[in-house]
Amino acid sequence: MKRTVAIDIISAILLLLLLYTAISKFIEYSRFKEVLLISPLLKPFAGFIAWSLPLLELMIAVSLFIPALRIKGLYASLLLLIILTVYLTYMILFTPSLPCSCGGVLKDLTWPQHILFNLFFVVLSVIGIILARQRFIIRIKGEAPT
Amino acid sequence: MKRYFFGIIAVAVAFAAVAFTKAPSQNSKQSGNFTDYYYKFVGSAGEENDMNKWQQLSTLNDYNAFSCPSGSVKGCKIINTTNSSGHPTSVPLDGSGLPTVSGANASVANRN
Repeated sequence: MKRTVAIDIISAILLLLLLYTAISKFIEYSRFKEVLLISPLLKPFAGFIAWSLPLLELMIAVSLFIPALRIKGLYASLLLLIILTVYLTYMILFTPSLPCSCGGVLKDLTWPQHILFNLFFVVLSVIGIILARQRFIIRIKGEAPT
Repeated sequence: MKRYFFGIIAVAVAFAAVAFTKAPSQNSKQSGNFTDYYYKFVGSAGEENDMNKWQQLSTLNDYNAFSCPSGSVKGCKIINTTNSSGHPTSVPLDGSGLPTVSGANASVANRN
């Protein structure tokens, strides 16, 4: 029971993050696209990323909301956060002078702050996945014939 | 239904947070702030805090095309969210008087 509540809370925190950043990106769409156009790495795909990234964040948020899809949502958010953290690391190493193309108040964070922020949510996703897997194993063992 | 409880709270908080962070930006836009302006530095080293030495670029494309000149000038271009008669209202400087590469409302490209 406690494990289930913990998974629900972790999913809700990730849902909050993804929904907030997705809505912020849609609201500030033109600004978001402009910043992507400055990035040497993302410039060729700026138009595609500008709408597909917030859409992907919304889809993952929906999957985190629905209990039956929650484990898939946790895996998807972990993957997305790892990709974004790798991108942030690249930006710190090669173009630290450029602004962040993040949504909402997150764009006010410095690059290192943003990496720490992302890593926190990566760890949270991993904990959520571990707890969900443990619950799945316990459930299977409970249903298995003796 | 119990398993949707935290999710519903998260959705509510997310929408509230977006509404909260969007509000100041809307108000500021009416007074002309929080729009991105692009500048290139036309002064000499040590003059980075003189706003008149930053010349406005009309478009983002001009900003992208502008390459930092070699020499002693450190800060050479800036994205700023505030503007005063074609000049930035401030440039974030570090302790030694050189432009810092990022700030809450500005981003400076420094020559390597």
